[in-house]
Amino acid sequence: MLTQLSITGFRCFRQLDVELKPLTVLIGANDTGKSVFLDAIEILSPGEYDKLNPLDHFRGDLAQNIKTLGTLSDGQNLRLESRTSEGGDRQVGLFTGTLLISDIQRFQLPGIGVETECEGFGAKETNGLKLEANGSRVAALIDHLLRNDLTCYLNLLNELRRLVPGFEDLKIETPSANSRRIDFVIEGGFRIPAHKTSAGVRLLLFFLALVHHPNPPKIILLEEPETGIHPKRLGDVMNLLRGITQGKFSKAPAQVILTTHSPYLLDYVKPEEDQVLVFQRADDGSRTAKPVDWNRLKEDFDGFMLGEIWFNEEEAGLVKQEAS
Amino acid sequence: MKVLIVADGPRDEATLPPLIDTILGRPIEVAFQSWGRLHLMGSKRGYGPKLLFSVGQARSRGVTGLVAVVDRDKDSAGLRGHDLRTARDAERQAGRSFPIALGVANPHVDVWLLDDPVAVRQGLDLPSDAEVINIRRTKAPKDELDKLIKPNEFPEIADALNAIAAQVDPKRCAHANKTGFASFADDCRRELANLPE
Repeated sequence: MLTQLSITGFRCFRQLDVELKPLTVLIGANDTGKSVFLDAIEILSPGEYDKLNPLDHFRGDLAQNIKTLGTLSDGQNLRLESRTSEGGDRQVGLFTGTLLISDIQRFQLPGIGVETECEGFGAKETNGLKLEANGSRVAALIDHLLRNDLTCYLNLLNELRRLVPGFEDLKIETPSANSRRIDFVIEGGFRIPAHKTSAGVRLLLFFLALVHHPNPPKIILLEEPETGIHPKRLGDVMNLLRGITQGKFSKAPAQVILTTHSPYLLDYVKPEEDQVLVFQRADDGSRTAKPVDWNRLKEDFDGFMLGEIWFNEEEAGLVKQEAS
Repeated sequence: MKVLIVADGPRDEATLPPLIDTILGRPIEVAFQSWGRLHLMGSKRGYGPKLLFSVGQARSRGVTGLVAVVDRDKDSAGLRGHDLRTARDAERQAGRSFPIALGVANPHVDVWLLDDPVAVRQGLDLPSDAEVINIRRTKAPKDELDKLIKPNEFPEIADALNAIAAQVDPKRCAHANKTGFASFADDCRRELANLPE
């Protein structure tokens, strides 16, 4: 787990130092750097950092070196630098660190729901079982659970029954030798391909699959998980994501760092456990991120929910007040 | 002195600051929050929780005091005013002493203007003999005021209301007890008059 992150000179961030928790929620207006923050974490992954280009330097100024320093919970540091030598050559490298390419994964799920038909996992893939960034390959993962971990599969099924009224059972079809398709059995035994069900149900299915992933990525970056989900369902989504951070159904817990624009989702944050980082635009155009000042909120808004405070007070009302 | 006013909308936003200036006898700096823009999504409903949230907003913004006004129309049982008073009492019982002035306008804030015909004429630059209806003869003070406002002189109704409000003299408001203005003025003086500049 990443416990701290320091970013220097990366895109819209001049300098940023933040603490991260198992569940970290990033909030802020559009264009305040939330997604860039996820980019900064993503480039710590081998295979990603060599994609850095000159425009990734703050204001495109190559004289300003990029330095990203992540501290892992075991005390190890990940240090990424992109710098220009005196001779004008740019050097990019992950200078220290032990992350694997599969350790960090980012998801941005489509509001129209995830695909529920895909190629199955081959024997060589069983270590990775990687879901795609748009959430597809859920069918392959659930097929894998059905064949290799029946207890986990049945847990997933029970959770789906609990969350989706009318859902009775799930079937994995094989339209061709290599492909897998999810069908739902709903009340009265009526069977329909899952892609004919609502987008929200398929998004819930994705989150359930992720919770039950036998070997999830160590760091999961998630863009706006509220997309396509009814506001009253967001509590379920947050519970599932919290389940991931606790390793509820998988071999190991994973860290979840997500962006959101939903005050309803924010209502489910637990102040004592989670981190909420508030992104804002600074006067000089750079972006900043500060943690929610729980003491201030306790003093002024005791008894009110974080989402409603955010909605009514906006970002400046959540963070430590600047001394005037 | 900066005060957070919580009331219904642009008409109240234009009307209340000059009235409070007059009541307190000094100009105040104002921040305005509309009840309708306050969205509490949790289990708390009604005007009481919204008042308590507004107190939090006022404290958080370094504001000196709070003025909260609700309308009596569409609230024949008077629950809104009751909610506000109960919430203020709860705040006090919790040992917090943030200044909170409450008002219940009957039927709505526009009547506090219409009840001073001199202010209406002066604010709208009407002839001294222009007829301004007695509030006892109307159930729609807002409509009566709007009839008197000439669009070519006041393209924005809020400007007209603000101009009238600046002329209101509480002593001329003959029905201040019935409209809730007298009680509001008393509360403002009690809660806010002694606050530092």
